[in-house]
Amino acid sequence: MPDRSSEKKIVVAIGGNPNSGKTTIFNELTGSRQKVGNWGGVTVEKIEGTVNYNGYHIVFVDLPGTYSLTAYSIEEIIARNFIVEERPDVVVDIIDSGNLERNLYLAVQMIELGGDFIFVLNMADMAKKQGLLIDADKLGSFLGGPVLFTVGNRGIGVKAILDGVIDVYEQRATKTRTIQVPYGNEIEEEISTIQAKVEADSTLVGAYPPRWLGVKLLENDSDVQGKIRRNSEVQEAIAEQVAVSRKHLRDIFDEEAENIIADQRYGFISGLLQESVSLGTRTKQDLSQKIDKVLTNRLLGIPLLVLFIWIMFQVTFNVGSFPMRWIDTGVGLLSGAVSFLLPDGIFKSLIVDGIIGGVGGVAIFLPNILLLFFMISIFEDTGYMARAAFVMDRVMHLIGLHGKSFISMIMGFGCNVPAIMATRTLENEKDRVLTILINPLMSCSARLPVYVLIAGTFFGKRAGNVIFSLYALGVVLAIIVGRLFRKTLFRGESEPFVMELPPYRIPTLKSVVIHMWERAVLFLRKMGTVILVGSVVIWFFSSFPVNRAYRTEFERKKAAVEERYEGSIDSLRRSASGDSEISAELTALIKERDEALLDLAGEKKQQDVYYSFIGRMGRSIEPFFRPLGFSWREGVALITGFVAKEVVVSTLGVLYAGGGEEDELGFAVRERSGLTPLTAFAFLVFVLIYTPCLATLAAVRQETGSWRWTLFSVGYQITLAWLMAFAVVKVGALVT
Amino acid sequence: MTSAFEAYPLSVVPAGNYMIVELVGGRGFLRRLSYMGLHPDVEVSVTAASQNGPVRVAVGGTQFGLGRGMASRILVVSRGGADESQKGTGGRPFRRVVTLKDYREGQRGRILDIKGEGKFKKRLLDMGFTKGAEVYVEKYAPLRDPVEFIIKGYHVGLRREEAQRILMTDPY
Repeated sequence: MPDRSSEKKIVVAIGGNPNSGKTTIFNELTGSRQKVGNWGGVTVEKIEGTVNYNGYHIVFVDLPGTYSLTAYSIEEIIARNFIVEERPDVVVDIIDSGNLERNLYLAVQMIELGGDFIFVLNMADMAKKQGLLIDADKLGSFLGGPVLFTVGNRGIGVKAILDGVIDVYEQRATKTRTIQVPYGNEIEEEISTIQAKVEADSTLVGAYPPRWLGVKLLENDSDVQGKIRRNSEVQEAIAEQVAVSRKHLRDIFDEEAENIIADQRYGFISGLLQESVSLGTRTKQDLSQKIDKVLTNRLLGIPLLVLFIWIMFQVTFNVGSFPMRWIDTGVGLLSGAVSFLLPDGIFKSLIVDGIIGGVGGVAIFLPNILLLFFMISIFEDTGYMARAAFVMDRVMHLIGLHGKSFISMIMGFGCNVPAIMATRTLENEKDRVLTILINPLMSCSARLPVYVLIAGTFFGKRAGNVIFSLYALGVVLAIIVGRLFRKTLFRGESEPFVMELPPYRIPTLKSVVIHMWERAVLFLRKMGTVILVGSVVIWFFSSFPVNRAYRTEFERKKAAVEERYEGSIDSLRRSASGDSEISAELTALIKERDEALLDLAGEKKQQDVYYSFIGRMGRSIEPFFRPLGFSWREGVALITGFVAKEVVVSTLGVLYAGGGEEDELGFAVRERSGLTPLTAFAFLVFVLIYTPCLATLAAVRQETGSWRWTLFSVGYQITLAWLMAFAVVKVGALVT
Repeated sequence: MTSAFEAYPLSVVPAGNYMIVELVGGRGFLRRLSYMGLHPDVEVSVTAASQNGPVRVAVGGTQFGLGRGMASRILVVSRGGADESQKGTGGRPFRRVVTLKDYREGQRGRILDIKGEGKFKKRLLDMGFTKGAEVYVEKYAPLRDPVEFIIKGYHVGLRREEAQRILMTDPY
């Protein structure tokens, strides 16, 4: 660690509206030196980046993008609390120059928080094209801080921000004037009476700007009210005054104070725009609007969205399947090499089946995640994501969800892990959790091998229809469950749509790559460990306890087989030289021996599973599955399917065919399982609905930030799976 | 349908007696109305309503005509009783108040008021939906919902059920 004591450390908060290009500038400033974490106690992402510049060590903190600084959402509270409570040395407000009025609404609220500001008018090129001539000095004098121009996605002016930060930092002592937004006589009067009450409490005055407290209290801000309740001795006097003031204003204006205050802020802004911005000549027509004429066209809008999502799906899962195959091969080679080097035994089994298998299980998702987030970054940074939500909101609103949930739901058909990670694009927590909960009902590609095996075995030519019906059932259930949860667990006013449709922009490669990389690191660090530990635990349950009696018997049987063939093979080998007839006999004999050994190995696997904890579990929960017509073998297969759904097939393979060829497996299942077409369908329904897999659970845990939701997700899915499978069996019995 | 909005713009009501509840506009507008004796809580009678011409009103004995644009920013409640106004003794039937939901593609108008309180209203204020702000209907989504608007120079989508809570002047 280099010695930084000689350097001066500057903490800079970067705030701004969503779509103001804030993230692009942050990435341009800090490059890859970023640290992703969460804001204390919540699932909102916190990103920090550092820059060493001219002997200063500058730490940039990316505040959540917000439109305002009320207590409307957790993001707004985080952003403003960071500025008031952590007191960063400099606050940089990124402003979309093409959308000044609304962006300045945030700026004027930031000023009230106190501190030293720099106002960055980003996308200055857009403003120029709109014909806006902005007088930076004048605007700066109104806002009380320097105004800089940048074009973030081309990196223009970004370095100047660093110089600006240092200037403001060094001159912070000499700054005298603070800017106040004037709210008009009546309101100013009430603000000062409340402020007077607040100032009676010296701890409050030390902790927060009193005028800001006055304004926020007048605005009926729940978070500030809480701060006062917790910290102040004179809270009752304050609350009383606030109530009197609010009533007084309501009597005068016939309107709630917060509405008048918002009006006044916009009034102040239109005043300062009149002073500092003039309209020159427009050079270019609004290209964005033209693009939208096509992309959200009444007829073309939906087909184009379907096309884009199809491309996204293809890139994520089909292009992704190549690196996945390499990883799979690599892991296979590695475990081959390790098993060659290590002696047989528990240690080898732990390394090969537990750890290498587990790491492989983690790594295999990486290409999907990188590619999906590559595509999502492009969707988001171009501004198309907002259009996709706009086009699909009507449909998603039926389930009580936001249009943005659509992409996550569709990606669920490929793999639920990246799909659940994709819910990060949803700002509203309720929407996010609900989308995560119903996402596993989208039948992922790992379930397909199970469908193919069972449906192929029991339904022959109708297998295709059966498989299709499973996908459809998943969608229907997602709609029903979504509506149900919305009405019960997530009651209350649903999130208003009110969504900005930002102008189309060309994304920067740097931003896209950084975004992708961050997701990958997050996945490896947070979920990787859960998946790895989970794999080792499951390895343990499927390998222990060891049936020692059977092991000895197995060794004895194996030796017996080898002994039985050894003599005759040896003698044939000796006399075989050149004689084709004897050669053929020899080959047949060797084949016969190998088959006997393979049968024995299969038997051993069956015995191992039967005797292991998982086998015992499967047998002990047999009563649970009996009403559905499943035997303990299906039970065991479903339990092991928790690692990954396709494992259901290999477990059935072990239990019915002793690990033999796959095409024999179907036959073996049909002959030996006792499943009828009806119970086989019930089995498939169960596979569709029940707890998806370990990796999905890790994703649910990661994205909801709560074990409670994770357990709830497992609980409801198992219950629903059982009920649906039971319904299939009962209704089917009536019909046939 | 019993409307939750009992106040209507003066431009849409039939002839009858009303009381002003709210004036929507800037200081200059309020001053001008004040010269004519138009304040909240003042009684006003509409002597002749028409579909598109000016509205003739009487306030405290003086009669004058009000342009529709101006009339649409004066919110009144009926004094003549709902039944009477339904039939409209001397004018056309009582028309439902105009909301943003009623606007068609390409129309523009100004915000009179936003109904309801709480989060939704706050969000709209934050996004620039203030009284008097001009809204333009850019387009309906392919499935007719949500709707894209332009306000304060930027594009924003709202669901129709949300647009219904925004009271508007007549489109112009």
